[in-house]
Amino acid sequence: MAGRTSLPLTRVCTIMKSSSDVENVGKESTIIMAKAAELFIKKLVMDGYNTMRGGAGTNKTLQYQFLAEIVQSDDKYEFLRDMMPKKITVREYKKIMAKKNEENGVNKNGNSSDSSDSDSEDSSSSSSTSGDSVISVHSA
Amino acid sequence: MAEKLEDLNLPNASVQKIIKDALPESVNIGKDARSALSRAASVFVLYVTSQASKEAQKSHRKTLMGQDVLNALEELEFEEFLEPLQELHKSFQDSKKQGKNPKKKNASTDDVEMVEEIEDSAEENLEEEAAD
Repeated sequence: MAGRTSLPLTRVCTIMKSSSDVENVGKESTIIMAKAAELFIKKLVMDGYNTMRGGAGTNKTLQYQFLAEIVQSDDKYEFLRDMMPKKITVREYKKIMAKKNEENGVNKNGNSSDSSDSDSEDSSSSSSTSGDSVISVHSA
Repeated sequence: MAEKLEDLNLPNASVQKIIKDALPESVNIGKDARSALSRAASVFVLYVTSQASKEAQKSHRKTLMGQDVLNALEELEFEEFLEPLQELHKSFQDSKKQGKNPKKKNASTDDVEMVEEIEDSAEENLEEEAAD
């Protein structure tokens, strides 16, 4: 077991060398990095898996959304946040935008009837607590 | 060096195997989740490499050493990986000490099974270290 890695060392070495601030990569650092990457994958998978079990419903498949959720909420995964945004449906997106427009007083679309008002408030206030960055990305 | 763009991704088969080992048997992984994990792992390697090179600069070295990677992981809040990796690191150092006297240049023939693939680049690095 000692040091056997499941990830190919050549590839790990190539990735490390592709970094602009590296001149030389020692071979033991490559081996340690390969092992670290393996531990990292396992860690992220298990964190995602635990998020999935914590939520409602009985899922048999670990979906992307659970990984995105843990990445967005755990600070040590901050470096992955841009790469793994939460996916939202077009309907949610429209609700968020409608809410935004209301706030700005620019209601050009005119698709916010009285009945949908309460809906959009609910959804956007709940999503804005957890997914601030996503909203700002889309509005930009 | 990286000739094709795919060379910067980790191979899907290996990543899939690691995921399978981690998850309970009854649980599957979605396609998009798997590719996201694979990309995340590549980014992780770059992220740690970048921090490790800062650690190397602190000690005025140009070559990344195992210890730099360990320091970087600690710095980036992945302390939980340290313990298993330190064992690995220690085993390298022990084998280095043992092999030092009989063969100076190939100090690490003990590790051959793992390092064959990167022998070429490793040799360059050994020379570099010797020069330092």
